[in-house]
Amino acid sequence: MDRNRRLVNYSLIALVGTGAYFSIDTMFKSLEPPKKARLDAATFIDAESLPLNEVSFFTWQKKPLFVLKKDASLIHDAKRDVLIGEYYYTIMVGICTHLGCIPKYETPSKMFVCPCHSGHFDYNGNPIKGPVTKALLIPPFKIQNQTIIVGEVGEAYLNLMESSKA
Amino acid sequence: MNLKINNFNLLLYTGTIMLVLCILMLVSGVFLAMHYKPDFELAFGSVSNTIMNEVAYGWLWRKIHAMGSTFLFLLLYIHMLGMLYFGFYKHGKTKYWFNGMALYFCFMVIGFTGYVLPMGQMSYWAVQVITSLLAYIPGAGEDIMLWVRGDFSVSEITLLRFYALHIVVMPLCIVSIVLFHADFFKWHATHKLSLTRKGLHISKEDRFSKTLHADAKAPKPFFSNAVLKPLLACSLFLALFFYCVFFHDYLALDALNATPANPSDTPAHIYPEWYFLWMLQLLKSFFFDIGMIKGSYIGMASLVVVNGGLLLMPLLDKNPRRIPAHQRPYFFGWFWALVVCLVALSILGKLPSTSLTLWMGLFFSSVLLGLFFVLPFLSQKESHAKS
Amino acid sequence: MPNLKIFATVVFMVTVLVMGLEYLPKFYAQPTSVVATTQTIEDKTALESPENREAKVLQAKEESKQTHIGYTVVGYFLLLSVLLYIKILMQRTQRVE
Repeated sequence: MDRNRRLVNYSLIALVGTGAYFSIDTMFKSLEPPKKARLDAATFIDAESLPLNEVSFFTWQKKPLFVLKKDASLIHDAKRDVLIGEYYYTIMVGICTHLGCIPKYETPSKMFVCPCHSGHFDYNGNPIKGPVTKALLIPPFKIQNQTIIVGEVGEAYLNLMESSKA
Repeated sequence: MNLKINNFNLLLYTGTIMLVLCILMLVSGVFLAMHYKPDFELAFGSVSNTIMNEVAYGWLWRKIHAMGSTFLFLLLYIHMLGMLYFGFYKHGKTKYWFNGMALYFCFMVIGFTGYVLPMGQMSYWAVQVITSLLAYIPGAGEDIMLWVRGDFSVSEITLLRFYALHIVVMPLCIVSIVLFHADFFKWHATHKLSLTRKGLHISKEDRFSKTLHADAKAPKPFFSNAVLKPLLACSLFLALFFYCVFFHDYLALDALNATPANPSDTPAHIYPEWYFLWMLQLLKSFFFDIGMIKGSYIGMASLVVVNGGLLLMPLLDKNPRRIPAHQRPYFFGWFWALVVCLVALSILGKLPSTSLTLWMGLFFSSVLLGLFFVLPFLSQKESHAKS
Repeated sequence: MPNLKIFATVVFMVTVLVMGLEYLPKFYAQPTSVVATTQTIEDKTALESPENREAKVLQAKEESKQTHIGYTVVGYFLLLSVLLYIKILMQRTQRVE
């Protein structure tokens, strides 16, 4: 009888435990941002309409986005640029890799300067001067004809990520 | 081996199951409140789109919350009628009856305010109609209507204040009244299980010995009776509950509420949730005037009489003996007349008005009204008949 | 067996209520339903477009997922009830010692 009682008690504990686990799990899932599509809310950028050799500003998931469209007159960084049509594009998240402020682009010097601690990035997003050591983050993106979809993962993005690790 | 469980009666466990349901409502309500937008235009979309389609398991919380309210009221009625049947509103239990009736009114308010929130057609028009009724209260009726609505017609102000009532005021009231109703304060004051209280400690042998307390009834062990049996009742109930949540959600989610509220388009047939239907029918039943008094006034007065009559049962029932109805032939008839009237009125309340339903409604409403006037005399006669 | 009688009465009353509230109103034809059907017939061309087909497939998937969860939850509580019942029986025989 004792063995049977132990069996019943343990199975009850196991059952209640799994029930509690799944209930708590459901509650935590409900707390996540609703619907994947809204989470990966994509920003659509028309590459053709962008001004040449200038930084354009967009937002993605409430974060600032810097997009630079350049021709041969500007330095091409193979680890950070993507080719669409005739021009190279650098897509960067405009958040300073030091402590998260938003750098401002200075057109005469073609540099991003962070107002908080004077970190400097070049126009490709690479760190030049100041407390910054990491380049500006490249967000996941996908190229579809002449449209850049920021938020979805595409082949070009995966290639860039691989080459930056190498 | 004895496979029967002693005293495993539905009526004994309605309270516990309602407690479990209240907890479920609280939890599901919290997750609903995280995504609900209490704005006149945005409310419907936030419920029917965001919560139902976009939030992970949002559909589950909404269905639990809707079905939970249906089952809560079902169990509430079973509980209340069970207490009526067994006379559990008489001496010694009167304060629990009044307390319970206060809970009943609180639940009606929370149910009513909650139904408005999804802002479907039925939600909006149910509130519009019922708050309009308040204007008929003699004297300050119009002011009361303005005071409840906060505006000249049901608007975002009404929605916001019903939201505040529904998620803050009523839950707090219900929790505090339930604590009293479930004897928590009395238990805490008198129980030996306390770090500071050094009461009598009865050893296990003495507790289960048949000779030591031969004069008094042997106390039943706490663990099996007060814990496991209610848990079994709750578990069986939850199986039924979730069966309805997943496979029969139309019982709680009315199809007509799936269209967004349109203040300029009254639907052909307005009705509240099923637990209010008997009250609606009571209001609709008196479709003619008696002399100077308008039919609608009689309807509203009858609503007050029936609810007031239920509240004042301890005073109306003149028979002092707390015995079940099957031992009181007159009360037995009275009780079943009450139940039949309530069920019939609920069903009639949902049907569209035809001449047949109108006359049936009048019949059952008059009987229901008459029951509360007759009870004092009936119970008096009964208590004198038994000597 | 008063417990069973009480349970049976309650179940009977609830069944009457559910029958009356769900099935009886269906016998009363609603005049507005005619308008609703013509509207859906007109919209049929829009219903067959690729986005709607994809949406319907996704909806069917979602519904089957919900049904699956439903079976699991109901079965879980039934299993829990059986185990609790066994435990009550065993607890009872234990205390005679």
